[in-house]
Amino acid sequence: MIGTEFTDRLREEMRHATAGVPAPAGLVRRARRGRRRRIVTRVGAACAAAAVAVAGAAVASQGTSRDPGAYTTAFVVRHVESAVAAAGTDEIAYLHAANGLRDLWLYGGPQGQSARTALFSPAGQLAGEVGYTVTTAGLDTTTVVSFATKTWWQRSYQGSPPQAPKPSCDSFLGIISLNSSLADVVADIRQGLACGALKDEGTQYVDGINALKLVSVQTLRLSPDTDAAGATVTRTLWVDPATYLPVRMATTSTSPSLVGTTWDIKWLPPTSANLALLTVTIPPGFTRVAPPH
Amino acid sequence: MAADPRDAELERFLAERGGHLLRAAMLLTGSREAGEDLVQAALERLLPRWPTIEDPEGYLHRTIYNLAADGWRRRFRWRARAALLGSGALSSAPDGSAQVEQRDELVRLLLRLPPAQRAAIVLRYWEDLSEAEAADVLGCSASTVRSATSRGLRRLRELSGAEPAVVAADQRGTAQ
Repeated sequence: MIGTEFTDRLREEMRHATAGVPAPAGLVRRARRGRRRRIVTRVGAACAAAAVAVAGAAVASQGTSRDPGAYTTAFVVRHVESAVAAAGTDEIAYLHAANGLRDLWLYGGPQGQSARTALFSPAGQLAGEVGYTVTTAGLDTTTVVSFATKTWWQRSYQGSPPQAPKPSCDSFLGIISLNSSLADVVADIRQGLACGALKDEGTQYVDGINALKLVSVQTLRLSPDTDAAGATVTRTLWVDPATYLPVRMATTSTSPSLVGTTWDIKWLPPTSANLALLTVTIPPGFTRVAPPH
Repeated sequence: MAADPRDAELERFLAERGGHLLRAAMLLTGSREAGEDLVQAALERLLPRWPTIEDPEGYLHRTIYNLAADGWRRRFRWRARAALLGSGALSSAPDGSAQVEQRDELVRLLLRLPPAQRAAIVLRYWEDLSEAEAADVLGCSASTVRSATSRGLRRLRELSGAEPAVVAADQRGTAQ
């Protein structure tokens, strides 16, 4: 038997936990956008299934050895390209490095690009944070917090307005640096898709999702010293078939000049709470120091 | 592109009545951002029916609870890490934080209950609905609400350490 004292405490705690929460704002626009994308992807999935059936029937009737996957790769790639382009301005990307050393939040909103990187030690301790923003007017601000020295610094400069990244097919490497923006990551993925480098390699479970696996293998000269004969760079994207957004991406290479990384990706709606994840918070007691030259 | 006037009407409706829905969603999901996501998911279901639906608040209310009871957020466990980085690990921890945590202990433990039990408890003890009214929201019988609430409260009490003898007895029973 549960006493009224316990349920009274539960009531009071629930009231306390929700006190002062205002009505949600801007949710209708987000809901309409989410619904639109769901409809598009649902239609896309149905079309993809139909395309597979048509390709299968064609193969059966012609008795050829044509790869049935080849027909759908272009279709899938087109939808991934479109979903990634939309997410580049609509959603926050949360990337978690599989080696546990980095977490990133990236957002490209109407005010510009924002990124926050949390750096971890191999033991899993938070070692530092880097915040990076560049406004549409070109104001570039970097904030760095070091947990080892309990210091932080910030530097801003007025640059020229950011240009859309223009990677070439040779630069489809999936390298994410500390000042990579969501626009950079999205441009990198889109370029890889546009170059026709990715091939459909079936499906694989990623975090409970039976994801579509797209693989590209390229031979590149990454470094004239070590890759005279060319290095093999393998880039893999795992894509959620419901949204066509990447849920994981990985790069491996045979070159010592390119250390591969695997990133798990989540796409978050730009709620006020999620946008707050892009802001570097200076812990109390940390000392501001001059930025390095 | 001009905003759809129906959207503006729906935004006005949410500004007036959405606070209660968001607070319920927060209790069901454990955080404000997850609560907003849940309200958004319910809104996506409302949009094709709006504005012809007679009782939009009732519709959203039922949808939010039913989505939550169906374990809508199962795929979002990763948020725990994001939330840790976004607040606890990085924000300041004033001296009063332990008191606040203790004060919200049961709300946090609520998240460890199965979704259906959590929904029943929020309906009964936060919304103060009767068993019959809660059953109407969840689309089940009053007896189902009664048993879900009872099991949920019992488990909450065990988790909070308010009934150590019961926990010990349960553990003995499990071990056998």
